[in-house]
Amino acid sequence: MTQQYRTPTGGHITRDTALSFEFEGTLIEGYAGDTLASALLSNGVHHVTTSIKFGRPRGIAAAGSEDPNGLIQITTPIPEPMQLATTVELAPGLSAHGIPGQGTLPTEPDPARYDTAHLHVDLLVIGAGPAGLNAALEAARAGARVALVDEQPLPGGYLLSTPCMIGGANSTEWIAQTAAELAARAVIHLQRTTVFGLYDDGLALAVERRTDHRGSDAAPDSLRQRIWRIRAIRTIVATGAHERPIVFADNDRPGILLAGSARTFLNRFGVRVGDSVTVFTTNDSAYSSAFDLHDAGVHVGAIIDSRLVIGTEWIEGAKIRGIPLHSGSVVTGTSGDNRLTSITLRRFNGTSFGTAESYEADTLLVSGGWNPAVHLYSQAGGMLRYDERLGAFVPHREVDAADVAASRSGTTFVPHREVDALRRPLPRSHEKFVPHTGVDGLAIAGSAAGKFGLREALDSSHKAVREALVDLRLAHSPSRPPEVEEDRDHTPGAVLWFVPSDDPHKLTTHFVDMQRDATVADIAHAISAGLRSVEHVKRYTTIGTAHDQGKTSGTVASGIVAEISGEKMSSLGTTRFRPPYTPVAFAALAGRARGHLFDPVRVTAIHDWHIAHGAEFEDVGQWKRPRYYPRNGEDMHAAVKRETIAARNAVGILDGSTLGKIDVQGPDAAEFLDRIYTNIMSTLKIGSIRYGVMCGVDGMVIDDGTVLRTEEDRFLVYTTTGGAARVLDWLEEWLQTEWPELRVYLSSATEHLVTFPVVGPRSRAVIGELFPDLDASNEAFPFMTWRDTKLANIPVRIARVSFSGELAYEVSVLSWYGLELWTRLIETGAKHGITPYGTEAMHVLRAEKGYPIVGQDTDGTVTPQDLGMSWVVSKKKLDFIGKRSFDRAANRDDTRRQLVGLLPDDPTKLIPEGSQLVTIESLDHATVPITMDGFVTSSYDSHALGSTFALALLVGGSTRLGEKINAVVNGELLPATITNHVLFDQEGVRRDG
Amino acid sequence: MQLIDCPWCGCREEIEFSYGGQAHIPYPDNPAELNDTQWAHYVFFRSNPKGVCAERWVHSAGCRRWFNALRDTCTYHFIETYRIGESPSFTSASLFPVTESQVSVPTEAGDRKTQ
Amino acid sequence: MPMTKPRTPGAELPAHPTFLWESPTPKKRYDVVIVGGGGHGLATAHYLVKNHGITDIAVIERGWLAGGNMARNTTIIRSNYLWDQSTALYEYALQLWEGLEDDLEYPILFSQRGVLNLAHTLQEVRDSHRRVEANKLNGVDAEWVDADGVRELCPLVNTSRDIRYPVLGATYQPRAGIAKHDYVAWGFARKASAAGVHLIQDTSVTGFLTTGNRVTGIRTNRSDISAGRVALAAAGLTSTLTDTLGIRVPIQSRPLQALVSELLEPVHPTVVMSNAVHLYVSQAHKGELVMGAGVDSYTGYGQRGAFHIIERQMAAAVELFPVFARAHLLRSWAGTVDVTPDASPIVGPTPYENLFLNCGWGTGGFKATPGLGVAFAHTIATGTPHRLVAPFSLDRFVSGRLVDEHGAAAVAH
Repeated sequence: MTQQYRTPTGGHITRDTALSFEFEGTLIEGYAGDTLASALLSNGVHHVTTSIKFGRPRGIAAAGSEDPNGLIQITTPIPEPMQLATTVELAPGLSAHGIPGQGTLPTEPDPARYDTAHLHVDLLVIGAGPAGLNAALEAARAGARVALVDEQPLPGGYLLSTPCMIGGANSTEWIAQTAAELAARAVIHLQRTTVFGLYDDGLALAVERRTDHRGSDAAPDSLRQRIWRIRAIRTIVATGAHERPIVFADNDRPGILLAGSARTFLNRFGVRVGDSVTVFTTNDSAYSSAFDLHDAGVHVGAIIDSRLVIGTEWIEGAKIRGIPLHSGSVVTGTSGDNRLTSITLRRFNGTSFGTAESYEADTLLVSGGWNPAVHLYSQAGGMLRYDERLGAFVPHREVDAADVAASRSGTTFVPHREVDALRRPLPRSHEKFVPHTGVDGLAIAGSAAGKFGLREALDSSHKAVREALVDLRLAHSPSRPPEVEEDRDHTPGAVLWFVPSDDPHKLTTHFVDMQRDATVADIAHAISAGLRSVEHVKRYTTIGTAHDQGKTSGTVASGIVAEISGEKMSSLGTTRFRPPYTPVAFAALAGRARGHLFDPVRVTAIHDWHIAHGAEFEDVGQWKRPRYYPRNGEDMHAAVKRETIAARNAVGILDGSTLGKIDVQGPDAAEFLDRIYTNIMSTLKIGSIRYGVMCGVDGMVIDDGTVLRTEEDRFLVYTTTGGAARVLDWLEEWLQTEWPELRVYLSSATEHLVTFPVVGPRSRAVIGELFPDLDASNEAFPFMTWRDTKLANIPVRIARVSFSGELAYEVSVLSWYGLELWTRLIETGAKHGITPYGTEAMHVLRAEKGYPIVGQDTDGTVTPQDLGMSWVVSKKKLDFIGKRSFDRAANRDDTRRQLVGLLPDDPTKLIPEGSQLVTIESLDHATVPITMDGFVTSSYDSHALGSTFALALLVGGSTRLGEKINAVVNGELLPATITNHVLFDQEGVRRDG
Repeated sequence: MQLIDCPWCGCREEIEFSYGGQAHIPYPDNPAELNDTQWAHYVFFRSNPKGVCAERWVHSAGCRRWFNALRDTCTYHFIETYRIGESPSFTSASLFPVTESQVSVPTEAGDRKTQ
Repeated sequence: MPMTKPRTPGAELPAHPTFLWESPTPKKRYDVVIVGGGGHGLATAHYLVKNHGITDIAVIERGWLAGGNMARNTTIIRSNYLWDQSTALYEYALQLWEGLEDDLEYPILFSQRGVLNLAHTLQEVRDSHRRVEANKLNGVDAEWVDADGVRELCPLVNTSRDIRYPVLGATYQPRAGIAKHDYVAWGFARKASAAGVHLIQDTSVTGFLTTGNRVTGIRTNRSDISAGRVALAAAGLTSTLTDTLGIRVPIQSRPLQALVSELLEPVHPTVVMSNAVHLYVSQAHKGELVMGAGVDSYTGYGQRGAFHIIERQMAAAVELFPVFARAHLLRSWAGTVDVTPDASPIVGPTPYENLFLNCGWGTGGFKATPGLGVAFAHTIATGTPHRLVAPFSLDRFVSGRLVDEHGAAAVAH
């Protein structure tokens, strides 16, 4: 195609860079600087897609992100569902097609990168139109740290669509000069960046599109989008306004678009939207569009104005150009299949219609007035009020006109005060420079504040920035907003929501929300159904729920509800605006937190050794723990069997470094631990170790582990792997909030120490050989004690504890020496058959001994007594956390579940963990619900027992030893005998070797 | 995301902090002397006011210190933060709502149900 | 212009009936006043009419009908809870859901597309088995599927081993699914209104009128209304009401956020939930992806949450569903969920003999709607707790007989 609708000159496009792109399979040409929409229109293509429900043809209806119609799917270079033709920049390699309301997710992976950046500024200005540019410039001149953020590729906003004189220059020059000065003053100026949400304490979130405009020239793995988290002490919202359509019959045909948007296409993109244009308006602003188009050589067939009284200059302007003006008239219908061909107009006095006249037209420009873009202001909690004059919702707090007048006549000088204070980090307490809260410190300026004239927009921006500078205690010299001509247009017009008829139920082609194919008739039906709330009507009709989130339809829908129901607009209110302002890609919000950065991976000091020796890993919290070490093609079962045999018959070694370790110090450390643990820790002797359980205040087990007394006022507390952080938090909470008088200090030592249990009958030999200074005999080094020794010059601590029932020495060193220690243990143990084992073998060994794992054999509803550990609950202590809860009624229930062992009748059958236990003898004729007596928490195949076995929590379990119970497995009953939870070496003879 | 004014570190991002529920609920002097209802109120029952309330927070990813805060549960905004052991400058009886009369009420419900 | 046929699947939702409900002027007295015009309040009114013949009812709603959590939840319906008491209640509700369209004569779009609860760690696998086995014995359709099974049911899920927390399998409840929340609420409202129930909107209850241990009526911002019985169905606002009577209720009101994408062609055939990464996602009838995250950490009535939770949720979504990378967040919002110490609801009598409590549903309220409606209506009508809600009385916090759904179950939603 030939861009036959391109003007010969003008527009902010690069005419020497032609770009071809594909739309609906056709190769088309546009220019760099075009949007997909402007490039299509330059080739006369209005029809972009069909509607979701009725399949009606739809075209470009606006020039920006408010367009409800121009939905497209991008297929290359980066496939992306549901974009607007008006917001996609033309780029090399672009191909796209229209979509009827649903996008298609690409199936190939997204190779691009996304990240997040943080920014802290004095003033954030959102929107680089005239109001925003002016505010940023004034603030920068006063020395403020400023960020200016704008969603378009180019700064200028309204000025790009509306060439004029400003500050003594033409608007293009003024934009360039201003941008240059902002750059010189180190303002952080982000274009192609949309602030999509305003949050607490001056936080704005924005998304920057960094590479899409480069199309296929950008590397596939480039940093495509960036989320900016901008924390500002003051914020000025200068986001402009959206034009409002008028709803009439068949108002949805391609070729019907907003009047201001047509002006944008003409002046910013050098595109004539049609050959034969008619204008339908309720206000002055559309006249400028009509005149600009006429002056660019477009035939403007008529201006239809719903008002009877129209300003003389507009009447004259139309007359000079020979454009017929129909005052007091409205459009009552349109024709055309895939493009508008004609319109029908009638005189309308508010109640009755005159006779119909038809006009040929391929394009109809519509203006029903303007809605300030108050989305961000509302999101931040700003209240809106309905302005009868504008027919729009505006910020409740307005810039006071009198103040602006004063600022024009001369300014109050704010003396220089502690400007440097601003450069310091944010201070404690509520001084001036803490970022603002909600709408405090948030100003709204320009047409976003309902100041639609350029002059009043600049005035409001001037006022807003001056207030911000006062708040920031920044000195600024007297200044005035840039001089501009008196405002001619954007004076409020008539408020006309829709062209009515006797029965609104019949207005089935009066489209209110085009993307949802929702009409005035739908609203009328909702009201007839008894609905009064706008929220209900919205949900009934689905108006405002589509991609544009009702940017053009929201206020109009409210107006129509008001009109049909006879309610006042002000009492109906508007629905709350919710973030994001425009859609944001999931991947952008996910940022770097994907794959292995989704959550930190924690590994022990000897992780590389585990990898080198073929370990299979298990996720335990954030840790990667070796689960087993298969050799020569072993499966898990074979490997675990080999590992457990080694530990029971020779010697095994485990990397237990992930266990939580907390260094508890201070004169009151013993007293503190007495209050935390269910048993007594204060009587523990230096050099000794005690096992302990801690409970929540509700008396339920939350963690367990061993405690080493290392000094009179110092303990090393071991926690479970998964509980380490939680337990430290728990201890700190009690220490700081309940017992601040206790002199105790807590530090995590989890990462500092590695701990390697050396387990099995030959462990004494290994330890004895590697640590010749240590007497590892049972007499010199008894069970539940610890000793310090050295490996060369490395300090080593060895503890005689056992989580397997075997003779065991847990060897700890600083993590730096972890690999050294581990390899020496392996080397020394080689001749004894030392075998590294993983968590699975560890589980078999501990379960054979009936040692529970908190979180596996408990679920937050289990007491120490339920675990058969009454011995760990002190009867002597007056109190400890959880003690009082043991006396509650539920704790005396004979229906409590207690930890037991299970031996399946068939020793080759493994009862799956999680299996439920029942007493019924057959499932064949059982009716649900079937009573469950408990469930299996741990289950393994034990070489030592020569059988499978399980641990289970069973109702009244401790009184049922020796009885039979059935586990339900795949719909079959698997009989087992209930046993004590300690199944192996009940006498505990093995632990001393 | 709010900024929370840690009394030890100053204003920091909300994600550095953890919430610890209602403040100024002391651990009972002698839990053994409480009846089940009184104990249940200590363990499970907390105020849930719509408006300003006193809460415990901890600067988990910072100094790891617990502190107290007055916060408005409607706006979420922090009115004041203060160290453990300090009193807020803004005080109101509504912040300390637990009274004996309230503690006794659920027992009646329990009694009625089990009759 | 010729009107062509709809070409987009799911574009058109079923039409609503021509009339929904009346907006009457409140009377001075009702037999039963229900405080809260959300799903629970409306369902309770419906079943008071249907099962107990009580029609002199007012449902008092402070805003617009069903505009609270009913309008804000992610519409997941399932009954595969952990404990017998919970399963019994939710399974009863699920059976009612299966006949609700006929009962209400309203197209509630109940789509039994199945729900997958993913397991990412060995402990989650154990917990999942435990729950599935318990569900089966309680008569709930439940099964364990391995990672291949997950891929078959929902090919979008990344079941490769090289993600941070690989999917090891999932519990699957085929009869679970989603429904259209507005349609459900409006179905109940329409039936109730047609039976003469007064649905009173824009009216805030400010307190109660009492004599001795009886509640005689409610105070509102408009006028006092006398009542034979008063039932609370006010979710997170319950404690602000009961505080005025000196009744303490152990709920905490927290923000819970949700979001939708743009409309997309059907890609996601089921509902996927993952506790480990705090995500649940379905694709609604119109085509939007509907997602929820974990509950915000602190008390808040503002119906908004912190955005970093949404960002975290997006990371989880893209991690588990790589094809979602280029979907777009279109709108986010928050409801106020009332959470309890054991993640189970509180339903039943109060120290006031004609005042009935229903709160603490946390994230489970929507799926329980019809079941709770029947049970609460029974409790109100007969003055004794329905067997399904009896375990959920307030006094369990004193006895310690909690129904702790935190432990091993898929807690959220």
